[in-house]
Amino acid sequence: MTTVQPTIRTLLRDMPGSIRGFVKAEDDCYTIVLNASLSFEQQRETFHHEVDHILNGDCYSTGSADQIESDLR
Amino acid sequence: MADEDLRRLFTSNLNHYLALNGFSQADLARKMKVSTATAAKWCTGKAMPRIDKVQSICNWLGLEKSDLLESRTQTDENYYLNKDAREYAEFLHRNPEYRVLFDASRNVKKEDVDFVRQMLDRFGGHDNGTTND
Repeated sequence: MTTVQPTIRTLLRDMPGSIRGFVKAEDDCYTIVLNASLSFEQQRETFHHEVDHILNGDCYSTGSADQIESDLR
Repeated sequence: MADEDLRRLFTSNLNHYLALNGFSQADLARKMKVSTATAAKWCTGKAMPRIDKVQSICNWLGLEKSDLLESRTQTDENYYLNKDAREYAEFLHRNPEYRVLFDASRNVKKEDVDFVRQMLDRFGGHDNGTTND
């Protein structure tokens, strides 16, 4: 039995201050985009937040985006 | 609702959203172009602003009028405080072309979410996001 490991790539982009980052899913490939203006520590926290979304299967969850964010915090 | 109850509710909500956004009474006075004494009266329940000022405060803080004039119980159940931003984030999560989830402030605005949508549209077009950073 083989387990498909998700592919994750990470990008830094300038974004509004209210957006620390986001994750976009495409099959088993995930793109995590972090706000380039954050400190390294903040980027690390946001990266972990997005990885939690991936590991929880949140991107394909039928739950609302609002509820998913509430549950993860 | 009695005027006094409405004033108390408004004051509670106003102070909540000012604090949430890191704004002071002085910021409120400056943004609404009123004296600091007037802003202080709004923040202590001694006076209510006119409805056009309530709308201006909502525009500034990205709120609905009901966020300031009604009980917060319902809105506190949501993560995203701004209704338009909440619906836009939901659209980007549900739409198979995006499938996006955010790490964003609770008071994120629709325009900020739209910034991400436009970025993603560029990823799918000319900028495929593979630029080395």
